[in-house]
Amino acid sequence: MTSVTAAVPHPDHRILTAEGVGVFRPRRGGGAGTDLLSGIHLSLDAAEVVAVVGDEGSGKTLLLRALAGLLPPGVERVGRVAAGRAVLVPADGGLWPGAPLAEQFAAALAPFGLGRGAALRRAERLLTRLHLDNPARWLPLCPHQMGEGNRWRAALALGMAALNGGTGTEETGGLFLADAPGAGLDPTVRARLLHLLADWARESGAAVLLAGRAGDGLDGPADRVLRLSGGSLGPAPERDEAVAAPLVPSGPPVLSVRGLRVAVPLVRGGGGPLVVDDVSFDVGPGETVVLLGESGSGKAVLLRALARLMPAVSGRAAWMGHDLLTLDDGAVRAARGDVQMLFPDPRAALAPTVTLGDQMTEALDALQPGFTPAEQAARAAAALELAGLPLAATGYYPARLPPELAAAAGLARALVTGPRLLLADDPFAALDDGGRGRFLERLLRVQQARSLALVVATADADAACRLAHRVLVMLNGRVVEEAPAADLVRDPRHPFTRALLAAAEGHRPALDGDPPGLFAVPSGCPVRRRCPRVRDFCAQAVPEPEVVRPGHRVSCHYWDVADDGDAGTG
Amino acid sequence: MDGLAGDGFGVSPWRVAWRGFRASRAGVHGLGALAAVCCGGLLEPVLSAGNPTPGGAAKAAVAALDAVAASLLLGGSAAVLAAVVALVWGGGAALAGGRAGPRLVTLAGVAGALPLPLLPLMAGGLLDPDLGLFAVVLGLAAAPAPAVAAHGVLAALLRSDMATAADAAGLTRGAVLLRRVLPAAAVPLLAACWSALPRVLAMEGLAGLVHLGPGHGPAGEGATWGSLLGDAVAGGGPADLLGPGLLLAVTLWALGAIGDGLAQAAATLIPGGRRGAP
Ligand code: SF4
Repeated sequence: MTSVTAAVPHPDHRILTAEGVGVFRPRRGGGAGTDLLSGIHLSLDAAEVVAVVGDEGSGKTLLLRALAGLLPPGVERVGRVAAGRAVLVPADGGLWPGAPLAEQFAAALAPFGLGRGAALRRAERLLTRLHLDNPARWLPLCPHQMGEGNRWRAALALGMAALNGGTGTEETGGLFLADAPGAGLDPTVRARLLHLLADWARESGAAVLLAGRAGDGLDGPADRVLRLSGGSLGPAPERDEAVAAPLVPSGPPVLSVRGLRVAVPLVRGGGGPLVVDDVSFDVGPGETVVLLGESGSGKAVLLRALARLMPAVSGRAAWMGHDLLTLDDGAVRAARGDVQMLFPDPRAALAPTVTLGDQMTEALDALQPGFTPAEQAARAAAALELAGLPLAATGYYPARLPPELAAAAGLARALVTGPRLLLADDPFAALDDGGRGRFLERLLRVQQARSLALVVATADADAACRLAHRVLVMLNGRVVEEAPAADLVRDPRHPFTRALLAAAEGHRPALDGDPPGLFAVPSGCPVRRRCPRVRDFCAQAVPEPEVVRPGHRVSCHYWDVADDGDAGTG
Repeated sequence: MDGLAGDGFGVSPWRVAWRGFRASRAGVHGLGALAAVCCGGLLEPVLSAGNPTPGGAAKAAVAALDAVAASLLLGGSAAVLAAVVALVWGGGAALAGGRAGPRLVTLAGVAGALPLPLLPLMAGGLLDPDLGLFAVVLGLAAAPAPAVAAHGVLAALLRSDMATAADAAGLTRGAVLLRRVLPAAAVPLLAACWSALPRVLAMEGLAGLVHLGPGHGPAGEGATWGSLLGDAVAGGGPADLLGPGLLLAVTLWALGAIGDGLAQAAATLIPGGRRGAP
């Protein structure tokens, strides 16, 4: 639930002062306990937005709860916290699952003297501020009847209502604390929502403290970014991550995909809506191609179709002269030694009851029979070393590994057969910022060491542009822009690409609203309901790819029209 | 990966699951309570030898302890049958997939929603002296709910990235099932099927209470807690209800608590319950 703490008047525009705040778990029977947070000094002024970023388990939630005076049982706080009225929106949004939004807003606004009718009108205004379409339609519904994006809009609006009735001044703004706001949303949707929240804070005088993982877009709307690490708060360091080495062209493509179509099989043997529609691209030796897209873009399905883990409706995927999509079962098995896959959550993809070493041996037995046990052990050791794991990792059971170690275990398992093509489905999904940087570096090193061709699917535009030689931006199953990574960063032409890059850089994306569901894709251009450049013609025809320059193609009717202020941000 | 390698990653998952069970206070207490009930049953000859002609509540308590073995044997055999049926039913539905799979699960769901406890009552009336057939009816009546749960566990695992990754690693469908899915499902399935045991004991108690089912023979041989409850209702006093009633209640609580412990063990084995732990 959104939690509200009692108001304590404060004399000036400083909303929060925390001095020497620490949180510890006391030892039973007295004595020094375990420090969880220590020496936190933090102040927030009215209308200020501050982001606190940190890795998983760094204590972000605990810090917010300590500031709100809502510590869980078994931990205690030291130090001084002076704050006005405070609201904490917890990591899941904190809406009551079984109560209609109207009831929740009426209850939140009652302390401000608003009757039910006035409260609902105020709720509609707040929800409209956060760009919820037709709020009157949603107010009678319960949270579970809403999509993820709208649920977050409602949760933040409810927090705004509970803090200051949604309309404060510098004196009455209060302290708005949000734990991982918008977690799980697509980057463009989350970035837009956080910017709208920041706009409201600056108007209403509220001080906003956002906590979450670095790379989750919290830094974009923030006036200051702090990093919580080792239980202490400090300035956030500059991110310095590896980038792909320039590609030296070396021969014809190793993978050539043409006209690939994949449908969701809704009934056995029957078709369903296309989730990958007419996708074509080439991958050269040692090249990294990134499929960049949000949920529902079809990038993961495309990879699975290439790995023959789901059937394609039509198209070709020529790998070393063979069409991967039409190989018989025996030939597929032979090809799989060459074509391996990384999964988004390696802990879920590796068997929990079999050691990593046994899983590597099983893969070798199945895909490349004929090796002696000593040769298998040597191959496993080489794969572990490449993945950055000690030899002892052969005895690890994967289910309980921390995410970064699990990612390395998944990589080692995939490398053991010596693949020449690695298909990586959102390999950074389970990693925090530090882990993501290290894994990205590892992947680049492995690629260079083995001259791997790499196809990566991700929604992380920043990682995509660092990792890729070429980026294919996907939207509703189609490639809407394709360019070398450097060109894409320098001169993105599609409004969707611009929005993705803007969100990754912390700017406000110009796209509004949520991506359409699989069964609600509009006619014509699939992004037209969110696009700031939309014109009538966009509804009439699906845009075909047009050449911007050699190697750079875009599918937008108006890609060459001069910008009217939507350079990624709006 | 310096600094990441740590101890404990090589601990066998079965040991991890056992640790998870032990971390569940309810599970440990339940196991203790069940052990106490079993010990009481084993010590019954000693207790009755020390006091050959007990009367009143003491006599009822001794009779209830005497019935521990028969009750648990009847319940255990019916629960094993229920588990086998549930695994075949739920597992078959998960493996069949397509249209047949969902239909089989729907059937199990519908059967689970029916007043199946009445089935043993009817069977108890018709098959009174036949303990074996009564156990079969109990087992069948208790099977649908664990079948739905078993389907949930297995279907989630068969659809999981673990199965997909094993496919990508070249394992055949049989190997995926035997070497990946079933070992990962073992503890969650045990937790799912465990619920059949308290269910059959409760049904047997209900049947006995209305004087149906086995154990109502002369001189009380083969008496179960259900039959003792029925006899107490029919002719005894409130004191006669106390012994079997208390033992049945404690056993049901203990079995439920052990089920909680097993669910926690399953969640510990597969953190986050992503693979369908119930
Ligand atoms: S075709 Fe129209 S709606 Fe689609 S991206 Fe281009 S301008 Fe926007």
